[in-house]
Amino acid sequence: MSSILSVSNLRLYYRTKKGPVKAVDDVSFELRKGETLAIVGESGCGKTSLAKALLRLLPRNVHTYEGSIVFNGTELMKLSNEEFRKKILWRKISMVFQGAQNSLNPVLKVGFQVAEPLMVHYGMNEKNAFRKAEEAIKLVGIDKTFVNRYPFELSGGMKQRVVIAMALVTKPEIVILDEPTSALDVLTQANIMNLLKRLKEELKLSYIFITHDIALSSELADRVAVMYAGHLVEVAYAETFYREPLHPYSKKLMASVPTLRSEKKLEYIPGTPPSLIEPPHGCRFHPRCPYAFDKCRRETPPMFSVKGELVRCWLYERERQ
Amino acid sequence: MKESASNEVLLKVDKLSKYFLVKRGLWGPTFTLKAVDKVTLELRKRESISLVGESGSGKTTLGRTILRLEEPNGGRIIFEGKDITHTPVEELKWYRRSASLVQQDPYGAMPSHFTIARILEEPLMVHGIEPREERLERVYKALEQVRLTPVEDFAHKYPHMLSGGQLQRVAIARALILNPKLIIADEPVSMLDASVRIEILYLLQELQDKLNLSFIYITHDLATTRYFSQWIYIMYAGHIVERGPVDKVLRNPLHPYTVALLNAIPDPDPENRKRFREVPPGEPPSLINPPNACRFAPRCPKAMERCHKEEPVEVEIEHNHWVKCWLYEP
Amino acid sequence: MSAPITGDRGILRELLSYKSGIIGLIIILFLVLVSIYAIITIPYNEMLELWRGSNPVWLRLPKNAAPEWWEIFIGKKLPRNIDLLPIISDKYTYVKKVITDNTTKQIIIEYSFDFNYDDFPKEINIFFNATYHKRRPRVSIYWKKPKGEEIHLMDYRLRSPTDKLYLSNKLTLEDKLVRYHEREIGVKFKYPITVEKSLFMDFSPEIRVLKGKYKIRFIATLTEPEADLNAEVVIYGQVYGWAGTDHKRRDIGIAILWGTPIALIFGLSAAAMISLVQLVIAIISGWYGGIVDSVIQRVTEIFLILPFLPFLIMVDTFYNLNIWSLLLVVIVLSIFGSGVKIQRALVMQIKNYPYIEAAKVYGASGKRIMFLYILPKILPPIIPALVLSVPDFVFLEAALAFLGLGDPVLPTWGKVVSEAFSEGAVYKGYYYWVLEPAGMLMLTAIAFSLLGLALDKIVNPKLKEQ
Repeated sequence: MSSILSVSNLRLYYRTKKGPVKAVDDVSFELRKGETLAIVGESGCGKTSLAKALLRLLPRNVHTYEGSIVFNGTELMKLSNEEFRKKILWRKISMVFQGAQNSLNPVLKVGFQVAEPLMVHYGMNEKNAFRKAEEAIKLVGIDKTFVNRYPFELSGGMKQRVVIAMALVTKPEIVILDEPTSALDVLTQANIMNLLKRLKEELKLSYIFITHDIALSSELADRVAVMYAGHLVEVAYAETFYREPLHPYSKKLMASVPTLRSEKKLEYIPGTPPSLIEPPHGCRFHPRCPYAFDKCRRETPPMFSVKGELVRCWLYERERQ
Repeated sequence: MKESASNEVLLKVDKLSKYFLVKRGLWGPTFTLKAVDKVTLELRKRESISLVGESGSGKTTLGRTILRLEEPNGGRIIFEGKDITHTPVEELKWYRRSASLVQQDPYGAMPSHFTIARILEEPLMVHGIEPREERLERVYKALEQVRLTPVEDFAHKYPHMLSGGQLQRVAIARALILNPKLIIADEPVSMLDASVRIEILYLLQELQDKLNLSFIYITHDLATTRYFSQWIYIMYAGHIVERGPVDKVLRNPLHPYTVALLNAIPDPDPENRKRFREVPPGEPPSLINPPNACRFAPRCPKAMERCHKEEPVEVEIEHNHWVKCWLYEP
Repeated sequence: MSAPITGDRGILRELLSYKSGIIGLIIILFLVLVSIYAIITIPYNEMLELWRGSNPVWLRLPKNAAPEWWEIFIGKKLPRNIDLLPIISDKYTYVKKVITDNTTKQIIIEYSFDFNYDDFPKEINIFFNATYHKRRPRVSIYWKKPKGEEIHLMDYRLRSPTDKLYLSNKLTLEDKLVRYHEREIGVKFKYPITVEKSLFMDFSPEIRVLKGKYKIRFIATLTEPEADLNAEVVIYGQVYGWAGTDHKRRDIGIAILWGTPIALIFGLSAAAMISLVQLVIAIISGWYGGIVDSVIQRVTEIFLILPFLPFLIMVDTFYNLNIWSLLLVVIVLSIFGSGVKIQRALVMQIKNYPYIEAAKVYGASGKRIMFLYILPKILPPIIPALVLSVPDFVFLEAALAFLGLGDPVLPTWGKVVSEAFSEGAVYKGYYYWVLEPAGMLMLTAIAFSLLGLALDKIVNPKLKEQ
């Protein structure tokens, strides 16, 4: 599998009265074609900011935005805003936002909203755009008569399908999914995940799947990246991650997930996630880490490569290859 | 798994129904929305029930009705032997001390213009606990019970200064402060981070043991039920479709809806991505003017003709394990 | 997230971070200090007495005199009031001699004073204070300019013990003085010259002030042995005080000063009372719902349709209200206003918040929830609107006063403007008479608007966070 997206040293800091918020701090990862990379982390770890950084959906108060994002050989950071918007945004990389089903425009018909990206990004005329929109709506499992309905006439699950249709209508190569099933019922969530699995096969998509729900991430993830306080602390293959995570934080996260089918003692992580304005010195997890030692407090560990996985932890300094 | 609870029945809910009348326009027709339909429930002291259902199942309405925030339209609620089904609200002051609520949204559940201490003082003030020193003592004790220490620190803070997990502890402290016997926790951890959820659930467990409390734990997250309750009630479209001891129901789910729920919930497993989950399509039905039939029939993979025509009756399959489904003809 | 809205220090600190807030607060502080000063230096009853217009105190002040700082615009040094009283002063010399004979008493009163202004006084009046039994005294009045000989102005017989002699009105004296000057200077004047001008002009064809030492002498002949006579001369200036005087010779400064507390109290009372009552009505309407809500909303709608100002004018015209009754009527007409609808919407929103439900669970009563849990949430957004509405009421009172419908006795800014316009102040060039009250009105409006805008900026983002 070739690399479709290569992110290196990506940084996104926001400017605030109290100082810069280091939401994305030196993040590097690779996404291969047809692969799903799950980015898991708790709230406030910076994962949504990472999604926005990838799609250059930046607010006004940006302090720092630098690094390298290479998509199919093209360095995206070198493109102007205009070029990025015309060539990449939604055409090659699109996104399903968190809570998107609630941000559908209530006064526009569903069909129009799905057709809109085509009219905006491709300059397609309304008739053609609507035709493509109908296709997309069918693709996500909604009857095409719903094209003329308004969002309030749809259930939560159907609205989420509409949002997915909007993200797919331009036939992108990468789709960023930010908590695509939050606020949905259990059964509906399973149905949506089934849909996403199917679409991935049919359309040969590559996903970046952002979620706080570790169990849910395993529904799609080929590889998992764990984010903590703006850093990526572990990047591993699904097979190894869900069975034997390496980083102490990943271990604690896995231990805190209640399981239906296996017996285990649940653990929780004491303390609270750190502030992104003044993260702890050295390794950001060290105040809550049961294995922390002196070096952890002094120096931030780099990513070590261990058995094909990446771990940002001093415990693995000697095991690296 | 848990030590056997004492046998005394704290709460008995017998064929409880709660309807809402919905009107379309000033002269339009009136519809009956049956949020809770003939629900039977029994809760003993020092026990917890997990009430599991998706949105629109009626679980929140059931909780609110048990708390007498709504007046039932049918059936009975008997608390500690007293029938409180139709008692007027003015005479329920004692019940307000005996049963309390922990809500889903920790931030919305706190009045943001009060300090934590004042928030906890309010229930005491409502029930005339004097003097102020006595109230503050109880406030500090409650904060200690939920492990928000040092208490003086937290007492003077405002809600927005606390994290979600901390605020939820305050909510629990508030639910404890009148020394209740029953706490209804409506999705108490779904808005919290994964790592914090366990902390809160463990806290509830600990409080149940230490303070002889009983809980009704309302949730849609089946996976957490094992870690907290002894009984599980599965609710769908206003009906309890299956109920029984937690491990029995989870290991041997009888109702197709329970089966679907269990199928739908993933455990962290790398094999998940290679297979599709067997879940019925569609959405939960509307609760308005329901037909006399099994409410799950339109989506049920095992539906028979009878299911569409007659409402099923509750049947006991194993000891204390009941199901409402025509597949289990008595 | 920012500091809690109910923490006073929190709001104050934020307020001070906005320049508009600081400026607004400073101006309001200034207005409050002016009000305190006014109330302390001129007690209420005294003020009412003074403002009555027919108060004899005013007789010693010039009519329609400009404020002293007005002379900056004119460029000349304008004459102030010169009050020659029968006491020793360092501003003039006073001599009184009594010469008794067998049957007659002769009293000679002489005042010497300096006149160094660039322009002529407005008026000259003489106030006699005599005691006698039957025979009214006769007085001869002489005038000496810095140059030239003493002029015999006139002979006058008092008409009463406290007779007043308005020299400026005496046409015969005017003629006499004109002819005297024409002879002395040797020109014929084309235009009439008033008494004040004649008495103070130089001996030249151009009419200009002769600066220097002036003397006025009274020789009174009394025939009763116990009789006595005193004379006070007031040479009215063209300017007076820091605010000037009006057509009734009243010091406009009193109205400006006292107008401040009146405006502030009226504006603040109206704004506060109406906002609070609307709030309570909205809370009751929103909380109880049902019939109560419907009735209140319909009543509100009726009031919204009512034309407020015409109705107010009608009531005021019929009943000629004083300011407190006016305040009451304004409040009654306003309480079912649009604020009720806006705040009710907020109440409906908050009613469904989880913490309200939690309160019901632990048994809080409806009243407790309404006033302890809902009201404090709605109060902050109301405050900017409250502050911003204060100038509305101040202007309302001024407008009614301008129409002649204001309080009949109190000196309000609107009253001053109204009187100024009735007297044609703008035509006559008495701009200060209009500018001073108008300026105060604008200052008040600016102050509360700035403060209100700053408060708005603070309060509104918080509302969105909820």
